[in-house]
Amino acid sequence: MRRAAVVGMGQTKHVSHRHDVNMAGLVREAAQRALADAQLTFDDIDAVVIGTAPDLFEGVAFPERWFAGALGAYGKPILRIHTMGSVGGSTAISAFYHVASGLFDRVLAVGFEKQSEAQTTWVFSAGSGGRSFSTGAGGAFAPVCKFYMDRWKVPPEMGPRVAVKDRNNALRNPYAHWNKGTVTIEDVMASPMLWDPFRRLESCPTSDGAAAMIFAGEEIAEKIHRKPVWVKAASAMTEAITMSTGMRTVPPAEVACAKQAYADAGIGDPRKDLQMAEIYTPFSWLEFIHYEALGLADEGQGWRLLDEGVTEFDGAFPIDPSGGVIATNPIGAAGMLRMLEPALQVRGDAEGGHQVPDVRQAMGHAFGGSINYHAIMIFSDEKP
Amino acid sequence: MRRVAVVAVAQTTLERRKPDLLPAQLVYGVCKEVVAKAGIARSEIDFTAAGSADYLEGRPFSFGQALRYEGAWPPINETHLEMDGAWAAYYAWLRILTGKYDTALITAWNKSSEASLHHVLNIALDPFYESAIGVDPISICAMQARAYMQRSGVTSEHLAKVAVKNRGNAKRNANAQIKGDYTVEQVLASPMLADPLHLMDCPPITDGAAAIILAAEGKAEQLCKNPAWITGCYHATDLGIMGARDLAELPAARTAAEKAYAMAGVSDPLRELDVAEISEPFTHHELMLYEAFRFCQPNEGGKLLDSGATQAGGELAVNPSGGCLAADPIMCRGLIRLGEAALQIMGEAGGHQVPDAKKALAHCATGHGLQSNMVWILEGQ
Repeated sequence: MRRAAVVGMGQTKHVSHRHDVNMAGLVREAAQRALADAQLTFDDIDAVVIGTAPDLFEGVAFPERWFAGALGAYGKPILRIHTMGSVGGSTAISAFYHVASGLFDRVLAVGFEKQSEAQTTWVFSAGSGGRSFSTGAGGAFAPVCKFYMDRWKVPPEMGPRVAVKDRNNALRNPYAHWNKGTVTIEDVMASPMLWDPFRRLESCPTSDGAAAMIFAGEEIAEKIHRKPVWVKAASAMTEAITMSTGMRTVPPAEVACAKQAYADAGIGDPRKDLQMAEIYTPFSWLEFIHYEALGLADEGQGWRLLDEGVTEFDGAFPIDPSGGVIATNPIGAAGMLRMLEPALQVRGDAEGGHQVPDVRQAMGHAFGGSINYHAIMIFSDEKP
Repeated sequence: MRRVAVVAVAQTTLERRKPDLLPAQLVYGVCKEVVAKAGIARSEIDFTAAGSADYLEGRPFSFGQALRYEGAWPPINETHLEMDGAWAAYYAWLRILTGKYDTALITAWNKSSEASLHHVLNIALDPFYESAIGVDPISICAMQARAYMQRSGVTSEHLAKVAVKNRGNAKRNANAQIKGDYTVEQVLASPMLADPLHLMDCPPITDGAAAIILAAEGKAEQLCKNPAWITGCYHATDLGIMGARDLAELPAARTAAEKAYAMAGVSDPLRELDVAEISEPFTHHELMLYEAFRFCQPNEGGKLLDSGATQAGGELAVNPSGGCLAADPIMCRGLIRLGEAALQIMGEAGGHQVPDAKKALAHCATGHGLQSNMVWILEGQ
């Protein structure tokens, strides 16, 4: 397989309403920042891959057809991925495989959401769980997290502590949506309960934003950027959500996805071979399920990693130093940011004080649906 | 470039309404059939790609419902595209080209009968300037047909002849929806939906699903007696703003064909190709595509049709299956063209088999007025 690296990255400042741009303007802004980072122009791009969550969020069907021109795709291939919340990750992975195939040299991946265009909780409620349960996204994940808390007898403040970690990390990230100052456990506990066990501050916001990454083939990556970030693994796994496999918290597809990624990257112990990770935690308690599924902790023990401070910004294995999805949630971009941020960390370019020292190898993870779509990439400063 | 082939093809019968199955359930039959045809265990397939559209199903994340029918347990390496299944096949092909994967299952489905295509495809336009004026595929393609007729001198009779040819071909395709011995007079006498397009110049509304399996050299020969080898493929998009396009031209279709021809070493397509399955939802598209694909000179699409060269027994049979005018499930429109072209190479197209087909073109198109276009070249041994 041809080696490929990330040679350009860009994102918008994520906010609840971008009144100044339409969807086309939003994606173009992120794409132009990635191009500027790579010192390339749209003419240098061979193909475009775009990812966004359901079209019903913005009310335009197949919006990439409308703004193909805004992404410089005229006369070029454009591919549209949709794998629920993991879509930004799957989109970056698709762009990587475009280059890895040998057919394309420079491929632009863009993920976006403009949640202000619609009432997304209403749209979620019409989703895969059924047409009229009115659950929203939080309602879909609450039972799993309740089960996790009860099964492993986890102290009730551990969920709020995820929110404290992520929201305070976000203050170091100039692009993060959350910017309302330091948050304490008391603040989180005092915020209204939305979907028990998720309080308002434990839940992701609705954001407008876009992210873009440019992947290039081995021979040219080094000519494009002083420090290409190499892709060591790009893994995606999906499982059917209706299997009667009994109650469980660790999703088999996520376990399989991580196993494949670690095998591809030659990683034995992720806690030793990686220095940090960005994982997809839109609601607080999901964080611990991921720690366990990704092999960072044993089953039932995930919460202890945070309790012991391991995954805090200055811990031994920082997770979501950017603030993660709890702080910033333009859905189609949120999955891509989980890939873009660890790549930035490997390059040493995480702005505003959220750079983790000495990151040589890092992981990005995004999930979608009922925790049944997963995408993982592993980035390194070393060629695979 | 690694050699990759289509090794198995399945599709449902294509019908106006399939009231007995949910959209995702359409997937089960074709996935089961295509896996059985290849004689491969589901668990041995390395990658799965799916194509469908939320808006046609009236709910977000609709494709999650199809996973159980695709065989996503235990977990599989899978990606869903909000596109025609042909683009899912394209992504699967790229994955196999990397050398990391050897086999892929691709599926696509839609139940247009449960949606209003007029509304869903109207909101697939620029939301500020174009969607708001209420245009839809029929009205946009009518403007395109008029612009093309003006440029080329093609007449309404030429357009009608495309409908007669393709729906006549469809008589030999058991899966087709609209078929029969129609006449030019009947087409011209059918109601005018948007001048110059009559009802019979337009595609039907169709429910259906399709699936194919791709395999790399080494594996393909084990799974299929006569694999349809992919020797070229490219896709390109035109602009999505109708007002920014010259609707009388199809530059993206031309780019896709020229790049695919260059990869496959095709220089004189009319002579070298034996069969073409192309996406002509509206009659004028077929003539415009003759030109874009260099089957004829510019403005000579009507003349080529008149010559009989593109009839089922002609020099280059175009749409022996009946094409989109015979059945048009819009999310598997392209995947069905790819499957039909592969069946021709495999010698398994049944009643609409073109004798001794060795080299085939499949064309897939989505978007208003054929905005995005993909061309595959398939060859036998």
